[in-house]
Amino acid sequence: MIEKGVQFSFLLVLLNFNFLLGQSEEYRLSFKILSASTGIPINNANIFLSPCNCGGATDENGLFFIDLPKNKYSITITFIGFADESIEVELEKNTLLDIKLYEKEERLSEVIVRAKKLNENITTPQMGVLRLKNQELKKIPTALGELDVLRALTLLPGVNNAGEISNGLSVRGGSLDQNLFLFDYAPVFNPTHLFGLFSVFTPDVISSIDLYRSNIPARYGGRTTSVLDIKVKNPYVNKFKLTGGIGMVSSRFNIEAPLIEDKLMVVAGGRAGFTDFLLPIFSERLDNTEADFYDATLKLLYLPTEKDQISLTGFYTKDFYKLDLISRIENINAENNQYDFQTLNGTINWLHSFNQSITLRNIVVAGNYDADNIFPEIDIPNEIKFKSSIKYSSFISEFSNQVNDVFDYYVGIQANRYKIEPGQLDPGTGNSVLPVELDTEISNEFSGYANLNWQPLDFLTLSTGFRYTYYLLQGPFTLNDYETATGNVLNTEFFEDGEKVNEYNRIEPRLGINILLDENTSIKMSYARLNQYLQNIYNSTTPLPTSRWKAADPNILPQTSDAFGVGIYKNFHENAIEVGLEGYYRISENNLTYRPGADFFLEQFVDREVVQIPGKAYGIEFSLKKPNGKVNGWLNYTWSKSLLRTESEDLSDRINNNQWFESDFDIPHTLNATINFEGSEYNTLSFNFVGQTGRPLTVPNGTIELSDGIDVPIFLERNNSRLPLYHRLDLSWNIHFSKSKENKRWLNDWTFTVYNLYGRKNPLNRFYTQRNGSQNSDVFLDSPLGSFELYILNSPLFSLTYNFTFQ
Amino acid sequence: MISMQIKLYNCIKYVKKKSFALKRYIHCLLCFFLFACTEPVSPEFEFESGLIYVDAFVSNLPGSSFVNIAESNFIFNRYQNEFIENARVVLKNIETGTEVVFVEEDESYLPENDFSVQTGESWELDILLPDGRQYKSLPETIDAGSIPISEIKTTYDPEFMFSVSEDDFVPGHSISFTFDDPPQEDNFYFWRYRSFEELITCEICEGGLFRDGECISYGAYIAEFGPCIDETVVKPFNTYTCSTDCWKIRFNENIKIFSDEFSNGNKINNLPVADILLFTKNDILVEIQQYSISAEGYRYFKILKDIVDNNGNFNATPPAALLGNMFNPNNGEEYVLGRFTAAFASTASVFIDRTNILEKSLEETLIDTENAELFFGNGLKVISTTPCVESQFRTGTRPEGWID
Repeated sequence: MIEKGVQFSFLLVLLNFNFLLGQSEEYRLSFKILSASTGIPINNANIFLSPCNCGGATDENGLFFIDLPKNKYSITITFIGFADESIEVELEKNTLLDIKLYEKEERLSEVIVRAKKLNENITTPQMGVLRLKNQELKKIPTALGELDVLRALTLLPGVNNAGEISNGLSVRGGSLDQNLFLFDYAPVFNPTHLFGLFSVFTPDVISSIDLYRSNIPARYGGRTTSVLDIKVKNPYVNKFKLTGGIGMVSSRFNIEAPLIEDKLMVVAGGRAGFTDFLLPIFSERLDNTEADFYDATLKLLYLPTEKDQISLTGFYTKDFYKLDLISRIENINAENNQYDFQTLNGTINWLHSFNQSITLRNIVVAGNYDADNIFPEIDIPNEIKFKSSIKYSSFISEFSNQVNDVFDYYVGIQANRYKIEPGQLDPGTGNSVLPVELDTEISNEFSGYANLNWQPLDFLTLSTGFRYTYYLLQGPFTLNDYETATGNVLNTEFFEDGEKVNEYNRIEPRLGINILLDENTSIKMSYARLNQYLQNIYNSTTPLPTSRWKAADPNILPQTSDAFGVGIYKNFHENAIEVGLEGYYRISENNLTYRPGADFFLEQFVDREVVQIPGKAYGIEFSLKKPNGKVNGWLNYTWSKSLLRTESEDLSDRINNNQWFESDFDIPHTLNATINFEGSEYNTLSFNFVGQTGRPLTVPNGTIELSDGIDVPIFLERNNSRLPLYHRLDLSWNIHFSKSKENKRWLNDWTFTVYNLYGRKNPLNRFYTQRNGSQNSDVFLDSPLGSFELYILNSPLFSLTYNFTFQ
Repeated sequence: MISMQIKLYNCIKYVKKKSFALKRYIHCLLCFFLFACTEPVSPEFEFESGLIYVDAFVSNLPGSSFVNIAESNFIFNRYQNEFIENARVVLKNIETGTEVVFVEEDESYLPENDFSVQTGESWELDILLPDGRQYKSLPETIDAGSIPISEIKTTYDPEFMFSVSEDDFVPGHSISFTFDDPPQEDNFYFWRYRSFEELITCEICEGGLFRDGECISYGAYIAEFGPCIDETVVKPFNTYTCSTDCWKIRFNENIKIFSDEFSNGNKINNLPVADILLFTKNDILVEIQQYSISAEGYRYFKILKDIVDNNGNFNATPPAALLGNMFNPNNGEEYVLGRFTAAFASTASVFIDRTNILEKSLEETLIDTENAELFFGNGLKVISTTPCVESQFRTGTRPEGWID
């Protein structure tokens, strides 16, 4: 294994050597496409170059880059509603073209987006933001060829998951529920399919993915560690376009089309995976296994006037599965446990532009997350159902003004309402269980926020803001007072429907400072305070979709974090290579952990079962990125710690005797590297490597033998050991086809991926069992217990996906 | 291409050999997101010495109450739980003040044979070690009485459960109870069992001969009797038939508990209470004890169940300390493992005829006529039988309910 590791380290070094060498014969041709009348960048403008017969489309900032050999090029730029523009360029150095398009008589609505500079990573005071574009997402090798947002993010610095199976992300040592996932402004409470293997976000409709980890902008709040802001692309199209892919696990289709020319457009994407019907053919063990998932996104864009843009986004995702390898729910006598969960979100976004500088955005969001357990009764044709849901509604209004080149600001208000139905047990037609219904929890967050970016001096930029939140918990609610020693209920207070239970007023300052040392170097500092009023409560290695969400109340206090950051950033070779070194320190309060033996399923007194404890996380992240060129990619190394500490008098509630202990997401060393070889127009070859310290693990401090002969491991500490080093290399080979002569509207390509190229066995967990006679005695030796490691994958995994575009 | 790919897969051990390449490939795809592969590894421990473990149980069934006390220690660099001798173990009735002294016997502390506790009584345990350390329990009350079982059902499944050590599904019987949960109070149940299988072979002696209650290696035997032994008849092992009636006793290997939190006062139908794996195809008598335990007792056994049964899943519960109701009154900082449980018990026996089962048993059945000692010559005595020796795992007493 060491030998393999050395081989692949060598490969990595070799790849990165190539990466750094660059292509001395090529120059970068950059475009910035603006509307001539408004000066606003144009998204999706088509750029065609000859003689290379290459080109592409601008991003939402009107930007497009391409690296080409020295030559003379003819360039044509087209965009609906605008007159075509043709120019010729002699490319003999890196060149940026500012091109203004003139509108035709019948014009599109103005689309206001902020321009992005080539060296934005240096000039902006924003720290800790990670950005992935759809094109980058498509290059990353993935398991089974599935494009995946969360898995792609784990290749970025400071982002981890707990092995192959994890129902979310850990960002800078935070827990999985401390990240806010927004999909076109609507929160997503369960971000994964198939118990964490794939994320739920319909891949083809994604426009951009921004992960904020440091000075989170004031417009975001509600989670203490990060915000993942995923935007669905605006369908600025004037002709029908169909894209899709057929893969081993799922198939996906995406349509973009104008419904009313230049007025109403649509993008609709969907993905479905239901290969489980094949399962019984291959193994009797899978007779009772099912795993189906679907997701779909629809976005309508309406342009009623040149000043207004109204969009409606609908997002639906659904999973159903039953697996042997999930612990059964106790105390419901059933054949098996099934999981059925779905998200249905809707967003209306109205953007009004008063002029080139001033905009007003109003957003209404409605969301519904339903997570059910189904329990078929033994020998009785009846299903018992556990139902839970979160209903979310939100209104956001944000005014922004780009006053001048050195000053801009935005102010906004946000009102969120959460209606959590934590659990209901429906006996169906049977009579073996009683109906149970836990109290609905209704909580509200009313926030006001403001943020300004100001460049008082040429070398100094400030970004400062605040977010004020008034949190209100309303009845119906049962508030209990517990005896500390026994946990027995001492007093109970009932609150009527709509009655105020309690409130929290919190101010969250945010600050970013950027000091430019020279054109290509900057130092940034940041601070952010964040509060979290909603948490996911579970006591397993990763939450289930049905894990309980709990609003803050008088007994469960809001989680709080104060995050400090400092970093130095430098670009080389005219911004072709970006290097960053960023450090962070985060102090958190009221992190949730559980009491030993806690069971949260339909638990009435859930606040008695959890303990809130302080935590701290710190680390240093080094990143090296070459965003463009025929060889592009990135390399990240992170050193970090994530620690927690109980402060309990009660011996049984203490963890590691009230000393700081490593949280489940403490991963001291992480090395990620991604490299893409875009050698020709027919082939793109990508590799990514992940290497990280194994996650913390609890090993026994002894064993005991029960009177009936069962050997039991004794655990007195938590996370006192680690799983072995995790490392993996993936490969993706994308084979493009040129337009066929017969049908120029049809494009297709194949993506061949190998996940875990060299077959590393990365254990997900290690567990202890009774010994079975002399079996495995050569491994277990004289230990009273056996021990096994659980792998999700212990070999390379190949997949082939066919992708097509018709337009 | 695909057939080449599958060579790289190890998970295909689940796949039947008849599978063709595509089938195996897709199976491995499925393995990725539906299965998991397990592999034995050397067990890792962070041993701590000086941990006191108390396993104490009293019930209404005479002869079933006991107290075990052990301390973890390194003995010759080897971690062991040592039984603590010469302790003073006293059970106190909270209401009446009655004290019952438990007496040391065969590495256990036991009361008088006829001792039993009854519903409504509250007891606490008091232990004084020879070195002066003292341990006490919180009071434990026997809340619920007997809960009649209306139906006992036995179901055989050729793929009863997945065994990590066998790396496959294994056959077995599920025994389930149907009973009416009392509506008056919260009920918490705990089941365990003893099973009896008639033994044909009482001893197997590997690399030697069974003499005077122990295996003597061929080397030692040759050293004593020398050249008299004909080495051509030496076998890897010898079997010895039981000369008297003998039954092998097995115990439950997993934890069965149930709370009526969602079903108070309802009929509980076919609740699995015992998993009987097909270790052998011999007939088996299963004696199940059903205990009515306290809420605190249930919580303790739930932690135990998470440690023993629920630790190998995708969403395994992180392990917790097995702390019950025992404490050191003079040192609040000491972890005292284990629990004193007082519970009302009732028993039920099930006899399972397994003669017609076709599946292979987990344990290989040795035929004594093929594996018995051979004649060594020179007048040495050949032994082919041995009497049944009573132990925790073996009895010569015919179990109640045994059918010939």
